[in-house]
Amino acid sequence: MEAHNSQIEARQPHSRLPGFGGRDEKRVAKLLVAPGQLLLAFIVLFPAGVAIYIGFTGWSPTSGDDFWHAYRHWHWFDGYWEALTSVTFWEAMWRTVLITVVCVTVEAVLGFALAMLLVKNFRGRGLVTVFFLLPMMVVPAVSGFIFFMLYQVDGPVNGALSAILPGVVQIEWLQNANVAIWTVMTVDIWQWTPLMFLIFLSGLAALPEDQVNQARILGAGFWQQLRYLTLPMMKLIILIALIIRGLEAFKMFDPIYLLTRGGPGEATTNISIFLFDETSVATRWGYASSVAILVLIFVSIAGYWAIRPIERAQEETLEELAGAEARAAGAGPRIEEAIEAEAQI
Amino acid sequence: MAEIRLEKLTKHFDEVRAVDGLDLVAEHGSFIALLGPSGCGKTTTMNMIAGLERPTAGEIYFDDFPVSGLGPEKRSVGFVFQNYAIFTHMTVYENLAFGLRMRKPRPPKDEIDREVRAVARTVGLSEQLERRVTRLSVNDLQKAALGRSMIVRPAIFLLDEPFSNLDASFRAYMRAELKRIQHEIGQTMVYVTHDQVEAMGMADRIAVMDRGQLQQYGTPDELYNRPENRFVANFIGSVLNNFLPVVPEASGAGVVVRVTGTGSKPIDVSDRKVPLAERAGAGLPLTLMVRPEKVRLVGPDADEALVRGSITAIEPLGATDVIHLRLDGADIRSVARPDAPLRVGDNVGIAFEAADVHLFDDETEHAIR
Repeated sequence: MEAHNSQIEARQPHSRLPGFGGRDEKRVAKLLVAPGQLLLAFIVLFPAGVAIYIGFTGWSPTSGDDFWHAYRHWHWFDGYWEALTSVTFWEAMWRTVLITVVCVTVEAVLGFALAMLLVKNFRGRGLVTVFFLLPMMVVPAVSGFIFFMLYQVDGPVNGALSAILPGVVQIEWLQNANVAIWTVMTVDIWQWTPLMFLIFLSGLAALPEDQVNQARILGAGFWQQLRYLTLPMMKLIILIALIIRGLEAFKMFDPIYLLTRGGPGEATTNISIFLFDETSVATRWGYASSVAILVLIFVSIAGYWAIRPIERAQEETLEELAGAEARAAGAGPRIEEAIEAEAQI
Repeated sequence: MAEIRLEKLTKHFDEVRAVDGLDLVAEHGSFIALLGPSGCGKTTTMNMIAGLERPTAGEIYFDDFPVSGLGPEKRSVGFVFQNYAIFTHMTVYENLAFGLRMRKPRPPKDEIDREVRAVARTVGLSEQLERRVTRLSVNDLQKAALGRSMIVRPAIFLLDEPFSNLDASFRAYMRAELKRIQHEIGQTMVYVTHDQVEAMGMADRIAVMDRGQLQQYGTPDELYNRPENRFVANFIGSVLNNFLPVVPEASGAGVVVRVTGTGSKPIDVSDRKVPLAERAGAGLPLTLMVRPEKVRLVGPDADEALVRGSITAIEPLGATDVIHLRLDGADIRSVARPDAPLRVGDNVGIAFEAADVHLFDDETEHAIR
């Protein structure tokens, strides 16, 4: 009994709410945060839940049933099976991956090169930097339309090429099935290289100058500095930039819709355009939902692999911080070591 | 080994003259300290020697070869930065091996390995080679930075305040280590510091700098005993120096100065060459400097007492005590043995030899000898 009392006394000072002890306090805390958590759950879970639900049905808004009654069209995994066995779906996936890999790679290389050029100080650097950032600030609908005009067969791009090259250049930028997908990529590269550039510029500017200078003094040339110092130190930033841009490019919609609507034929149909066609044109919402869930699963797996190196890099950073702390705390015993070492001389 | 020669070396940052017409020669295998307060241009000078900054004017010669057109990678210098600039994403081994791996053509693996282990032994990091540098103590970081520069056997070794982040005892240890290493490898070393004790203890010659200009270049002994100007006199010395205003007077054939204060006696300074006699006629003031170590305390009425004062504070430093004294016109300090029978409030006589007196022109601040 006595022991029990002392326990209560020991707890008393920690209780922040007078009148609520122990378990009661926890209950109050839970009640207080509940509304926020419910809202969050609603925002995240409700749409996902609806998508999963509809994904198991062959429901369409033109079927006469509202989506509550989609279960009347229940067919379990038929939608998923249809997607997995559909050539159109896999072609759209392949194009999506191609667009993502090419766009992100080109943007990263160009952005990095630009950042390397502009990280050094020179007259008018601010102005040049802003100039290179402009494409990013253009509304995608506008840039899409501009490029739509530029890439007409009798448009300015062919006009400019005709001026340089012999003969009249008449490339069918948007009409040729083999060319159109690359044309679409140029728009994304034009618009989003600046974002890469901006991220890399800030990363390069934050590199420890003394380490770079030390590497130069130790004889590292430009490429050696890049390979052994700049890239390893920028690893985390580069990974994050690639993931951000990768996810965006994977979902690319506006330039394709404005330039080719996924055509000619299906030559530029990526997964976004494919889903758009299934929902808006074919109104097969049940099928579109199954495809969307499938894509989500694929992206989640890819994302998991992409994020692992970031977590590892973060652990290293934490380790570094812990090391610095240990150094600050561990100075004491080392003094004695040093004194001993000195005494031996 | 190499001789470093700076000729009229100048660096301007916009309007600021960081380094202004610096002339300096560091001989083969010598140990030179660049000493001065922060902002005096010593680090900028180092950066120019290393090739990290381009001089605005003037030239740097390594063994009569002008180098200011060469990048840092072509100069064969070693540089230890104040914050060590250790490559944080590498292990200790990789840090040490870096300089060798950058060589074209890259030396064979076993040769690099041999060199890395040899250098690790020299600096005392053999046990830590496979560790990530983020796990090292500050003291070991310092050793790694030193080793990483040593491994490429640079002709010239530059160190920018390398010990300022270390705790006091380890600093003393590293000072001795560095002198030993320099003795072993015989490179020309240039060492930047704002700590005059460090400079005096390690360097063969010290260049004292202030506001981008060289104030004096000489051995520690010269700087201590024959300061060229008031700045050097003030900067060198472990206890705050004594500066007193005096007026020269004609006395028979010679010249004397008198410290203002009770019972003041003349000090004969006739041996100074500079036209003191003329100044004496005009009554132009001078500044007298005498180092606290040279000030003796005697009885207030003793013959040798040049002026009288009272003790205001006693600062025990262990081996010696610093005695703070109040004269009529000024505060001065003296160094006494801790067993001297002195108490705060005592009236004492203050004595020093005329030979220990340094006189400075108030206008130019130059020494009058």
